[in-house]
Amino acid sequence: MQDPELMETAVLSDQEPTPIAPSDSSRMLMGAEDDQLGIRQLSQMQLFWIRFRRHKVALVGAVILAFFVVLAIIGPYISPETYEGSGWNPVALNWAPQWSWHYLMGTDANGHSILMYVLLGARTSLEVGVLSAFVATLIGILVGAVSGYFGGWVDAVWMRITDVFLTLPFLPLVILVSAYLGGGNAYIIVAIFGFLGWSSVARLIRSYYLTLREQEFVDAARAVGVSHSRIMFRHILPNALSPVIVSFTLAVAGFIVGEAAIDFLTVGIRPPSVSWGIALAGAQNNLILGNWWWAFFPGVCLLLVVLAINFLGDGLRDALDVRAKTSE
Amino acid sequence: MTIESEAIQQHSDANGNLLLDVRDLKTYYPILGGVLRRRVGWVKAVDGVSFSIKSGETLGMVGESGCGKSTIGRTVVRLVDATGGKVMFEGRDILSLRGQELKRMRRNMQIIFQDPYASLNPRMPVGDIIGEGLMVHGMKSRKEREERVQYYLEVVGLRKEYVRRYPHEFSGGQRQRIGIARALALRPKLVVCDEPVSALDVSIQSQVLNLLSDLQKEFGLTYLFIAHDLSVVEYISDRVVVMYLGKVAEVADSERLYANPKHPYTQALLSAIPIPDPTVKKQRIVLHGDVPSPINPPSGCRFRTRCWLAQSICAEQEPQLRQVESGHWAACHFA
Amino acid sequence: MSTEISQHELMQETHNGRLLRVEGLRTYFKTMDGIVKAVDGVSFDMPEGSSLGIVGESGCGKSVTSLSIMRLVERPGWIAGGRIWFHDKDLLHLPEEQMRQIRGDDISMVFQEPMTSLNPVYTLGDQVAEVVRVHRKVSRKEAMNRAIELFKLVGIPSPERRIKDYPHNMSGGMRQRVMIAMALANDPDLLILDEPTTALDVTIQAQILELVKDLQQRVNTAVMLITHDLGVVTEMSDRIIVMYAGRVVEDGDVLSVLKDPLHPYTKGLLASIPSLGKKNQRLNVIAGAVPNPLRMPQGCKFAPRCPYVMDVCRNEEPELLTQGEHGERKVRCWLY
Repeated sequence: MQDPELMETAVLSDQEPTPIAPSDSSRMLMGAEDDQLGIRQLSQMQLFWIRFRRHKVALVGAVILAFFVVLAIIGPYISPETYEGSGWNPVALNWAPQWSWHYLMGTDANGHSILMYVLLGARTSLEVGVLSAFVATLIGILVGAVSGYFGGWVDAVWMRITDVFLTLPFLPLVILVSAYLGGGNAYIIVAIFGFLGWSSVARLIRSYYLTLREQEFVDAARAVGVSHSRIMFRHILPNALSPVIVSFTLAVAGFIVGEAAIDFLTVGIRPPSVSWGIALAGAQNNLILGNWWWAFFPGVCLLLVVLAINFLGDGLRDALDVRAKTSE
Repeated sequence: MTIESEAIQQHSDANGNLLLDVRDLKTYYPILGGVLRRRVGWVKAVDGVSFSIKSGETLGMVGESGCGKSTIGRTVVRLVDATGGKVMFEGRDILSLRGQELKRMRRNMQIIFQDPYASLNPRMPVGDIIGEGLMVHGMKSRKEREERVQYYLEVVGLRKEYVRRYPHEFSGGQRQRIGIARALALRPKLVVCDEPVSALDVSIQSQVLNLLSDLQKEFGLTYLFIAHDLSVVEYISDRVVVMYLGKVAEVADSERLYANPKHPYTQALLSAIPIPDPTVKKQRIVLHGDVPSPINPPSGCRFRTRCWLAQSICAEQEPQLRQVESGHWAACHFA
Repeated sequence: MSTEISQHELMQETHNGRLLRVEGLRTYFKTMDGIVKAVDGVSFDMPEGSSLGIVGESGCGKSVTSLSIMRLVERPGWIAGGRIWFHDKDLLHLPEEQMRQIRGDDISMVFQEPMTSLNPVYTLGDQVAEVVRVHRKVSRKEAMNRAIELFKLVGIPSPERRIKDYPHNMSGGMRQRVMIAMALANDPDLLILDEPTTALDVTIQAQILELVKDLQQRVNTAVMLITHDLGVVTEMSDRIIVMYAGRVVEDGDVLSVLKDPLHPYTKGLLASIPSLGKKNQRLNVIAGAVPNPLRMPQGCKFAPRCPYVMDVCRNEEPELLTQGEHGERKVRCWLY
């Protein structure tokens, strides 16, 4: 790699050192410094995984969530019936759970399989939750990034707008808008949630941008001539990704609950779309008859999914915490 | 134009062509207060500073924290907006440049930062960090960029295989080399070195200093070398500017400055350096008190509150930077 | 007064003049990638009232050594072995309760960061008085008077007013004076200064160094100064210990070590400092960087960077051996 004698003369000689061409001195240093770099340190991904694995509850959350994701994907194919296809089934009104695929979780007052609600509802819940969180996070990132990066009056204006959205009573407003737009469709719900629910993400992202824009690597990029938008999204955003991921996760849980809530109030998704919230809404008048299964299975699913996502979010927060120092 | 800048300019003109000519530069930061975040005052970080750098020269700039040396560096490379004055680069005032013109000018002036950790984006591979400048200035071919990046990695003493590695895999000294490669990749004429070795260990410091002087010869660079460590500045610089509280206290060739400092502040600064040689017994001048606030600097001479020579004239009249010997300027009534 | 002094001298006699002896100290840290041996077999002595400088680059273990003496090493670190004799007590085997009495009373420490070492919500006087009252049964008023006295001692102007100030009213240099006042509150036998001037400007550093020198003469305290700056050690200490990769590589009086360094690392360190008047020479360089603490070389830890390296250096680690006719110097190198 290098000549040890060359090194010796260059390192500690008493006489006037002979001038070394840059390339020579570079080569000399290179060899020696390689000892240091020969060992590859753990990558960000590995570090993340080590920390995440320690968080047992989050692991459980991830497993539960994975189960429901699989359910949401294959649900329509294994469901005993579809909502449209089943209609009123006078044979099986209010049946308790029994050992058959169709009636595994019992039936509702119309004879629909509760299992069908659970399987098809998983898709609706996750779809609305993830898509709404996606829209809200996207808007939040845009607003937060512009606000935090430019500061000054841009920041002042956008943060006042954000404050307005933050103080709006979320649920009543959603109910109002949903009622006005006619609700019914999952994508309308996603649009409503996304456009009303971005403000907390925006605030979070803004606070990260406020600190990150003062970092010297941002100055370095500016000195090189990099444009504002590139600095905002190529330089700063990757450094603010951890809080984005965590808040996205928690937003998914929040929107799943929100969706169930407005379905329950019958201003959200409507049949023939199926959701856990619809099942719960249907069950509320019938519980008194003792048919607990109608509310129980969709309710437990909702609870499990939301808990699982929250656990996962906690684990992600700990594992992604950029401020927690590693061993380096 | 003030007398001082005129004098310096004449001096420099006589000795070769000026690359950078800073005249009466002022950079103030607003102090915001109250609920409405209104401006309630100014931090006068740089308050009327003139100096110039010849092509191929290294101008050192020393002073304690708060003297404005870093702000000058950042103003020159247009990271901070100036409040007044002129920064002429090859005869062109760069403070008024905007948009595409400014972007083109940035190729000519680069900066190396103090903190080798904060100055590299932790989420970017080394190849992108160094090559980004090439990309935004029009080198669109990825392959061409990568070759160029590899070349500069080798120039600064790193292996070309490192292009895909991330900053956290490198030591402080290696990171500083990456920062140098990033600045170098645009082939600038002027490089502002803002405390480039202060964050490094002694044995790594000397490696980086040697690299910087090698690169200067190889690429014909001109340096504005900012540091608080006088021995480092003396080592690398041809001329040295001593700053105090936003003003120039003294300018001279580095040998002359260290052999025969004229300004009492420079004298105190020099005597304050601890030297690792037990045989040298020196008289130390210990200054009293702290550097005053740049929000409300003392009247007259700004150093008078800590100066052992201060007379009533120092409070009444601000001393102008004047030539006390050929090529040696000091801003002191008694120099 | 005079009887007190003679008594003190008598006590020194009985302890044979020895204040601190560190024997084979090992302090390790557990990290995700393995165990880092930050301090690995460090031994040295300190007589009463002496001044010792410990120098080395970042990661050499100098700060961890001082934290180990105070028993302030926190998880994931632990003291894996060795002994620390202070007077005639083995600090590593004292119950925590007794150790707490020693800290801030017999041994005290000043840290690098004067910003974070002070609590922002209490006045400076309260914080200094607190230290006094932890170890002495005195009234609040007496403790406050002691604080004023200490402020005077460390050269803080108008101390009666200053004790009512909060840390944010003080500059970095003044804060460091307060930290020193706090450390001296109970007349410690050993004062540890961990990079006390690194965060300060040159002229402020000069003030603090003058203060410490002055105090060393006025109060009979042994001072252990930890720094990366060879210049600071030269001015402040009588004896110097050079550390590299968790080990002592050289130990001797400042004058002879700096005039005639024995260990190649010390030589290289001295040669690589750009000092005034060395202009236009190429700086001498110690090639490479400090080894990764997880992958230490097998033999001498400096071997990969050493210009005098021999075969034996790569395979076997040298001992810290005594040099010179009077045994006043020690060096860890196969050359001697």
